[in-house]
Amino acid sequence: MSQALKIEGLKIEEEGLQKIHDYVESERCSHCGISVKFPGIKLDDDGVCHLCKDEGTRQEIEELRKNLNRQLDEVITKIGKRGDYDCIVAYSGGKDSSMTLLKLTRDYGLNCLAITIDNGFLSDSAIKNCHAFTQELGVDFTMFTPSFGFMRNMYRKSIENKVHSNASAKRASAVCNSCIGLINNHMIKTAISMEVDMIAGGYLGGQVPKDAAVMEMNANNLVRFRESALDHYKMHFGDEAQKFFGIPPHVLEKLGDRTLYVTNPMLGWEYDKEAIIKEISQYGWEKPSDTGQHSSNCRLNDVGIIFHLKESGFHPYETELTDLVRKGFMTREDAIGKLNDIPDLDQYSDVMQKL
Amino acid sequence: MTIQDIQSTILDYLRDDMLVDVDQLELDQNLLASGHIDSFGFIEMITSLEKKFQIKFTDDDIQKPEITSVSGIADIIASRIEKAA
Ligand SMILES: [Zn+2]
Repeated sequence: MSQALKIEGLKIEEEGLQKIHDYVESERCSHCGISVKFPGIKLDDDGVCHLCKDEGTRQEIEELRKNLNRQLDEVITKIGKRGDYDCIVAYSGGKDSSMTLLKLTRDYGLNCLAITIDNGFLSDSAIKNCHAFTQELGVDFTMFTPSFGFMRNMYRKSIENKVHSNASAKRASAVCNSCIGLINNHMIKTAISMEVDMIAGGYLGGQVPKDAAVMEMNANNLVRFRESALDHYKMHFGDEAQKFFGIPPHVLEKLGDRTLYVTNPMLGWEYDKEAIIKEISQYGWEKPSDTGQHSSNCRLNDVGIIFHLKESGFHPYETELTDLVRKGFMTREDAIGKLNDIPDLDQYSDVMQKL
Repeated sequence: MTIQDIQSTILDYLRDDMLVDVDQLELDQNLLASGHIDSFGFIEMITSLEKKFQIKFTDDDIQKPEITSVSGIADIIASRIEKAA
């Protein structure tokens, strides 16, 4: 492991390795499995965390999910049909966004445009999945590949410096957060330009707040969210960040007083990983074997996890997986098994070389 | 509840949940522009504060420029509490 970690100055010191070790050994909630290394987690006398205690009954959880689902239904009745598409799906080729695309197209009857961002680290099998799945579904598909020079710099800076807010580390690794920001911005810019009112992502609970099932974006919100972050990104990634994290005035103008609905439908749907894989497999999707425990499309993901662990001392998938346990969609043992299965960087020497 | 009480509840929340170094934070500082929270964090904060203070922000509240700073949010919450009383 240590050899691969020293490529081109990106390395993990002894202290970082110790943090990872301490994490694996750490105490966990007796109910959901969240580690006490996660910020703010305290266990009561029965070893139960406050997230579990605040979670509510199974019935309340189910009611909340159904409510998110109703919000999504409402959005679908509200969206206009000016452009060629009803909805843009931020499509990674992974299982969750594949399921999102499948349900919106087949069950909701939406005319979707699938857009994939090729970040330079998509696995070959994920790219194959993107093409095969959209063709089988009969969905239009486009891939946007930002220059790798920019992406490489963005990822390196994300690993080396503190680019994102502290709280964002609770949701995802730094490299993932940079990528998510870039993807969101591209989808928003494209949706406005093409006069599409709805964007759908494939995020789960933990990756985004529960209230992100449906986010209403008007010009004011967009300026506030995107433009306020832009200076920050430019400072870290250089002026080119304007292109990937900004929304130019002429695009904003096109939005006028319309509302853009940015949705994450998975938050309102029941979640069963095996059932999802089974269902999307009927449309030409094949499970990749080269993207690690937590991703079904990106080879950078595991590398991001390692650097997140050594920096923060907890796993970036902590919230996502334990949230699934709290909601009854995963067992505690399965979640802990995945969280403690620390990726082996030797398998990612190609990724480290490219970085 | 005084404005100071509201502000300190917000600061506690930012410190404990958003992991913000509140000692370095000015009350009128824009939380988004300063990078203390991002857009998802903002959405999370709004819902959490609604729960904590048992209020509901209106769409107009959310659009106000001042809702991005601690002092601004505290003022809006105070007016919501007053209206509910
Ligand atoms: Zn728990």
